[in-house]
Amino acid sequence: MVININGVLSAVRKLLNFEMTIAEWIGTAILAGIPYLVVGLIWSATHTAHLSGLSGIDRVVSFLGAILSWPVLLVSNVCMM
Amino acid sequence: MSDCRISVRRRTARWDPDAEVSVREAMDFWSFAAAAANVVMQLARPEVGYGVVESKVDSGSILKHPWKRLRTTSQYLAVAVFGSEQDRADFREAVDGVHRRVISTPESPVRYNAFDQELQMWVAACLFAGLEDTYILLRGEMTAEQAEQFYRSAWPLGTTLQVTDDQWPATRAEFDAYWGEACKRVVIEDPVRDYLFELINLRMINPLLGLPFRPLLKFLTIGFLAPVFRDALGVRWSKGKQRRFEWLFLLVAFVNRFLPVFLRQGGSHIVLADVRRRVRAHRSLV
Repeated sequence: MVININGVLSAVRKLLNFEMTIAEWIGTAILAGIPYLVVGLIWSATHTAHLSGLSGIDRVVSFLGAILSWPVLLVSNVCMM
Repeated sequence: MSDCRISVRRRTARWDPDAEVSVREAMDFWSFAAAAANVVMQLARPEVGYGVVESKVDSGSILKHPWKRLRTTSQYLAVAVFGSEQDRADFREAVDGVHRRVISTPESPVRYNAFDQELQMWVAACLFAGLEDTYILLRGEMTAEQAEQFYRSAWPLGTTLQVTDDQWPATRAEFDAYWGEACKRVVIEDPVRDYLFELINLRMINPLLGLPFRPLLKFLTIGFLAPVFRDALGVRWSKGKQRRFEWLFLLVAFVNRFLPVFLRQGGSHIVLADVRRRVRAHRSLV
C-alpha cells in the first residue's frame, strides 16, 4: 500500500493549526466530561467492595476518586484505601 | 420598512466587536430554526408560491419527500456558502435540470418560470435576510462595516443559480431599499397558504415524530416572520411570545459560544461531502 506522505502531513498540519476559543474548549470539555462521569458513576456504584473498610470522609473521597479514575481501575486495582 | 424585517429588542452582546464577519458564521445549525419561516417568505411572492405548489417535480416536493428536500436544500446552502466554484457549477447544473420543468401553464393563476432571475433574486434575498437575522441573534449586532462585509459574502446564495453579481443591490443600504419594494408584492393566496400550513404543521412526516415538534416549529416560524409575512399568512403573535422568543435566543446564543465549530457547522460539511461523493459516483444531486 502506498501512503501519500505529503497528504498525511498536510492533514496533520491542518489539524494542529486548528484554532478554538477558550469558551469552545470549556464547552468541549463539558461535552466530553458528561459521558466520562456517567461511566465513572456506574463503575463506582457497582464496585464498592473496597468501601467496607472505610468510614466517614475517607469513604466519600474513595467513592468520588473511583468516579474520576475509572479508566485506571478498569485495568488494575490500584490502592483505594 | 420596519414591518418587513423582524425586530428584536434584547439580543446578545458581541464578544468580538471588531472581528471580520462572513456568512459562513451564520451557518451554525441553530440557523435552521428559521428554515420554515424562510420557506414562507420565499413562497409569499405569488409567482414562487404557485410555482412550488403547482410543481410537477414530485421528487423535489417538501410535502411528498420531506427528508430528501431537507437534504437538497441544506446541500444548496452548504454549496453556496462553503463550496468551491466546481461544487457550485455541479449543483447549478442539477438544479437547472429540475427547474426547467417549473413553468406556468395557461391554467396557472400567475405566470412564472423558475429561471426568472427576478424571482430567483427574491428567493436569494429571503435566504440572506434569514441568515442575517439568525446571525445577529446568535452573535450580536454588527457595525455598519461588518454588515457590509457580511452582505457581500452572502452573494453566492443567489449567484450559485442564475442571479448575477450586478443583480444584487450594490450595498447593504440598497438591499434594504430593494427589500422594502419587494415586500410590497407579498401576497399569500389560499392554495399557497394551505400548502404552507401543511408544512408548518408537519403533516408530511410521521405524526409520532411530527406532533411533539409542532408547537415549537410554529413558535419559531412565526417568531422569525416579519409582520408583513405574518399578516399575509394570517397568524398572530404577541408581546409575551416575542419576549420568550428573545430570551430563548439569548440562551441559545450563550450556549452556542461554547460549542466548537465542528459541532456547530459539522452538518453542513457532511452534506457538502455527500454532494462531492454524488458527483464522483455520477449519482443524482437533487
